[in-house]
Amino acid sequence: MKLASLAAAGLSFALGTAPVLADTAYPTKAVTIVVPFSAGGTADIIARMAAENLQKKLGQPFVVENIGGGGGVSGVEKVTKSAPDGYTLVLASTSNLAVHPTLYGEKFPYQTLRDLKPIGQVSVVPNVLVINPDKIPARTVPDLIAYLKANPDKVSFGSAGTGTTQHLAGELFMQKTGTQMVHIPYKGSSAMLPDLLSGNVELAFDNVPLLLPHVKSGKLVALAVATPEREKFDKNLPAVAEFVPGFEATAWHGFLAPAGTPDAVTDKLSAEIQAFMQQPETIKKLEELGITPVSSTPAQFTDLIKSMTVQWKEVIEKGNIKPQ
Amino acid sequence: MDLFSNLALGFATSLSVHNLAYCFVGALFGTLIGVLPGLGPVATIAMLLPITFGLEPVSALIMLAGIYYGAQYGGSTTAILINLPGESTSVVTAIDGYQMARKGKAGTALATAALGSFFAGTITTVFIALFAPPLARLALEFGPPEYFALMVLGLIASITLASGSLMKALAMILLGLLLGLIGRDIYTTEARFTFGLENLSDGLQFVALAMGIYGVGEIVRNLETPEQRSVAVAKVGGLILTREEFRRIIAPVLRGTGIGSILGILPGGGALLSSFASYAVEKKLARDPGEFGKGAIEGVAGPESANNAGAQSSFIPMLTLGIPSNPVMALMVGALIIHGITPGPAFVAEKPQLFWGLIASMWVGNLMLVVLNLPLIGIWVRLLTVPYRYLFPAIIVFSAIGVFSVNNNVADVLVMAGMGVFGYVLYKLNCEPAPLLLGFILGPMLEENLRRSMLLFRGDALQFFERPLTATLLGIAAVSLIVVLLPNVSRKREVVFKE
Repeated sequence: MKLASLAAAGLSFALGTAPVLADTAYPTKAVTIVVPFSAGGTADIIARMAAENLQKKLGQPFVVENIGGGGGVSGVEKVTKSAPDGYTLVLASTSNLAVHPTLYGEKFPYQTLRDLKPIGQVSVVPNVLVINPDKIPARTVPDLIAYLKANPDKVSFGSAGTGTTQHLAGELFMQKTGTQMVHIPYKGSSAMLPDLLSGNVELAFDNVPLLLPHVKSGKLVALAVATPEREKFDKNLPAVAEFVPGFEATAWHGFLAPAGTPDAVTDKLSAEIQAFMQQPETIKKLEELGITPVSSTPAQFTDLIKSMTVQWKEVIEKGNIKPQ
Repeated sequence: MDLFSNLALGFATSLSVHNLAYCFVGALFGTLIGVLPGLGPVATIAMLLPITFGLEPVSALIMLAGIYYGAQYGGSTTAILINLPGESTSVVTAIDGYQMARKGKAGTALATAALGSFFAGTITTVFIALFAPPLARLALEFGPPEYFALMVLGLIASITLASGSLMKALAMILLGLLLGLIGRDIYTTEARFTFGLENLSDGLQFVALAMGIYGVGEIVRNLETPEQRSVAVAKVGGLILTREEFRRIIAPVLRGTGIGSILGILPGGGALLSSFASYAVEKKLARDPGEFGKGAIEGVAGPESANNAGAQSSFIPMLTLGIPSNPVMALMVGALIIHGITPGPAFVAEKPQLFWGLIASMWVGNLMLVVLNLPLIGIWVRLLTVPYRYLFPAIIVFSAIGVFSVNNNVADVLVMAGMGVFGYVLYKLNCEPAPLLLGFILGPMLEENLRRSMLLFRGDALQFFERPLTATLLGIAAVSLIVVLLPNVSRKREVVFKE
């Protein structure tokens, strides 16, 4: 696929500007990758690494633009309103794509698959189920479920905010196990962490890189990982799904273009991005950051967005999370 | 723990030729970019972050820290010279610093800020070296109920910020609280007061609000009476502090350093509160509180020392717990993670060279800022002699760029413009904006922590008084409310009668 597109590019170069091949001449000017979060976060790091690679491969500058605000809504919205020519892309996350359009209702400015065209998923950021060991006696998932059943509404779980994967993971867990906890939202994971360490909140689902140092120091205990299967960073840590079938609550990132972007352009980008995600250096670097690298086709990414939108829609409706 | 060998390791690291160079470059870049209105430390670091990706982790961190101090100092420069607080901590500096500049003492105010910051930086460096781990534990003692109590105390103290009518000050605080409510409620995700505009769902941006009310409002005001401006410019001199001025700033600098180094440890705006707290304390202790708001040198010295001390001690929770206490620290954590280092409890033991190198470089960076900025003061002050008809369009343009660059969002620029008009109206009504801004900062934190506490207490408000720290803070708040209110009421009455 990569070879084919390279050959096509070479061909178009040799033949001059044949109209049929106009799209494969992409890109002919600088491409903007919108990251709907501030600089320095996970999405930003992935975008900058990918931009550097795409710039090398495709010979045009790829510029990362951080548009923060509204939990990512402002940035994604801007891309949905950009020209569908492949010169504006977005690197968005689970909540942008599979949660916000449901959570915020009809007046929300975009619908993911109506307004955007998926190019490919690039990462999974595993959430881990951790507890404060001074507050909760359980050390395994079944023990935890038994403890929660015996003490309904006693445990508080913290999250990075209402509607984040960290919050929805907790809701999904309660719905699947028939337990009850009180949700305490914070403005971001790092605001929640001090209260988790000091035991004001007793349980959380959150990202590996944030929690791992505290699990290592013994301040927190990790019970399980929220991916469908065990993760590479600790093969001894079970998946929640081993005890609660079908449990999956992870954050992921992927590239998208505005809906209506020509296939030739998105296919070319998809091929380059997949190749980049398979490079050993990319894999090594991302794994160091606690991110699981993923290489996927536009179709696979579309399916993921669809299935996760359905799952989170159910959780949101069942948990009555929507604003009234 | 052997303090001296640790510090020796730190200085050996930070005084190596190339780290010294990165520190210098960071401080220089930080100052130059930070001096552009609106480009505070967050925007500056976010812009320059990618430059550090290719460096050694310790060099990257040292350079970023340099940018941080530099940008912070740069923000104070614009606050003093043109009443443009480019970042939240310099709002307080603008109150008296700008008045000093109008009286022709811009040089003195800038020198006070530089010296106060350097002194605070020196003390705080030692403080961190000695007490970082126990201080980090203090930060963990602060749960939602304690924050709530602290915010209550802060709001009561904010009444003292105003020098005019008490009723107007209260009105400004309440207005600030209300403005702070704009945006999505973090508990229900309900959009409040956004008029359906998605751009307002994060609330108003502080920088846009502060720069609009102060900077743009000031321009409108100046254009109304252009001649007033040229009088102020006529007498610029006096770069060096007189002995009398030195004497006056010693105590405020010491108190500011103390306040800043303690409050800075608290995640979530501690460093910001420290400059307000220091101002309130200085005003309460001053022999002539009436001078505050009209160019009191104590009102520059105290808060500037406090914010620099707070800026430095805010590294403590990040380095010892991996908890970033403000957006700048979040960027620093991002930078460290890019280098494959996750700050956390094991950081000091695992990377002593990085930890102590950074601490030593704090002091080196502060020294560089003084060396860099004392000669620059003359140049900054001369900026004021540029005819205003050239200066104000430039200020507006740079402000717009600065505000835009924080989130790359046009709506923020519009907010700044609207707030400019609002600032002018406030001026016409003789309402001081400082209490409004403090209300704007404290309001959301107050609400967030009150509601979080009530969730944690499962609705039982009496539990506030079962936590010793919370009960104490609320008690101090109640007492200071009485102390603050009574004399003010009577004094204000006198003023009214005089009229």
